[in-house]
Amino acid sequence: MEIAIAIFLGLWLSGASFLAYRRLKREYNVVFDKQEEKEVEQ
Amino acid sequence: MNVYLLGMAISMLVYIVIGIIVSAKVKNANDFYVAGRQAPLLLIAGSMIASYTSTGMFMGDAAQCYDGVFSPIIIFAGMQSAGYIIGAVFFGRYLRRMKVFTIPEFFGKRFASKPMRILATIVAIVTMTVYLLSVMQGIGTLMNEVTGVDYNFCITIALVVFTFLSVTGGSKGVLITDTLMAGIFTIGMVVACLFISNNAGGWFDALTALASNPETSDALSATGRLDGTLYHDGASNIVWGLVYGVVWMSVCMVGPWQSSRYLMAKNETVVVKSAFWAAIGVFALEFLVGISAVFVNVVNPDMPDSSRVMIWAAMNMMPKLLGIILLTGVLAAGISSATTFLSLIGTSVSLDIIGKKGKGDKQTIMIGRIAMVLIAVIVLLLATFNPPSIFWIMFLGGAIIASSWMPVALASIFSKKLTRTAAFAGMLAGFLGCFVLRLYASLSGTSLPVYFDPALVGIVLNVVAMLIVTMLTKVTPEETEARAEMFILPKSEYSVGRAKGVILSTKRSMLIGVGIAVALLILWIIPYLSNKI
Repeated sequence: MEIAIAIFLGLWLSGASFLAYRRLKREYNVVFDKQEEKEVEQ
Repeated sequence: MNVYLLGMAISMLVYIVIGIIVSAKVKNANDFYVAGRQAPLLLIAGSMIASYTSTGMFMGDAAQCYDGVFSPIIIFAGMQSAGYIIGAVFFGRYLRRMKVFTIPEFFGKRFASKPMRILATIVAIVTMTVYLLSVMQGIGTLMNEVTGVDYNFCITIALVVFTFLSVTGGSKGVLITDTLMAGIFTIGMVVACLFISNNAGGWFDALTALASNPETSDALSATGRLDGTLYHDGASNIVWGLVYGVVWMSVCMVGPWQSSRYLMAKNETVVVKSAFWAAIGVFALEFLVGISAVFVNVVNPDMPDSSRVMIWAAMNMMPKLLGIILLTGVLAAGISSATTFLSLIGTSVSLDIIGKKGKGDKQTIMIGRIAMVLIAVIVLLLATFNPPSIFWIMFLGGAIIASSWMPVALASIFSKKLTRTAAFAGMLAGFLGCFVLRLYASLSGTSLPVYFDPALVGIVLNVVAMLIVTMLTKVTPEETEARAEMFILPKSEYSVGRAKGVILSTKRSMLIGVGIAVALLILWIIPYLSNKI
């Protein structure tokens, strides 16, 4: 049971970080697209 | 003179001197209320850790762990840490984009609704005043226990110090003193944990001694002791940890004393990165405080008042100088939370209730300062007379924020259909549901089942009210526009390097979970299971 608690907390925190990572990656795509546009223009 | 009193007095003088120095840097309302929106990573992370950590952790949580419910405390501490990560990315960044001064102003602007702002202000002020009161009582108990000086004199001195810091330095000053205090109590706690474990026979030997003793073995088990410290059955103890994990995760996500720090951050990278450091810092502190309190059982298993466990350890298990550092750190934890609460209450009274329309910077700052002093006087009177009927309100702080703010805050960002009337109904239903149920339980002396916690009931009522009223009302163009504004990435964030950096840091932060699981296994679970009788 104690081991289950450690695994649960590990997954809980990593899961939260994964959701955050996905959200940020999607939103910051705009920044990378803009950079690509600039490079193409140049 | 009592050396502990001397240490506390010197530390408070240092904070006052820093407050005076910082106050010279407050040039305008922006500086006073949101630190000029230029605060770096260290100050935001430091302030978030300091605002969360208070006498409640060093006295309340420590007492629970000493009494034998270490595991449920660790469950809630681990779950709440995720709240920082989710809160920063899914709420804090959008909040910052609205360029508001307070969270109630955010709700008002998002829904183009004055009543919404007023309701959020009432919730914020009630919650933070209650918390301030409880922190003050913790500080008073600590100072009285350590120094022997009269309780009322202790709370008055502490109140003068934190009111001075909030009034002179504003949020800029609070960020700096908070970070300094976070440094002091973190160092104090790390050193304390090493000494306490050493005095108990060494880390692993102490775990062995506790696990192999029939009297203390359960204290480190998954369910904790079943003698009624929490509940009389293991399942309820674990569910308690899970319920409080959800409640405090909500507080770490949207609580005013946590998310308001994001308004002061200099950019979104700071918002995201500070949240990760706060998640690690707060969990590490909870673990160190909890396990240290459990270790004290090896040396002194019969403490009559377990809320004094860390004070006893500082005075009896550590060299005097290090004991002074720990106790000064606990005091710093209380004062740092109090400065944040007082500063935010003053800001809300000044900006959300009185408003700054037609007023210059100097006048707005002056109103904020007067509001802080008035609130401090009211809190001092309440704490001095300590009417017993306010005790039940104290348990409400985090529960009210979770039940009234959390669902509305998240829906205000991610729901296109949520209307101002639905948001208002949700916040009110959550607030009343939690408040009334707690009031009923306290007045009638009823012990509610763990799954019927007022915070959970409030969250459910909040969501149900939002869903029903959303179906009956329509979103106005103003609300649609306000919501769309939040999704525009500010020009200042268009930096490829910074975007890559923040994404990389979230990627790395997935390792936090792995790290915490491994740390728990090595430092608690494996040694415990190997020696458990």
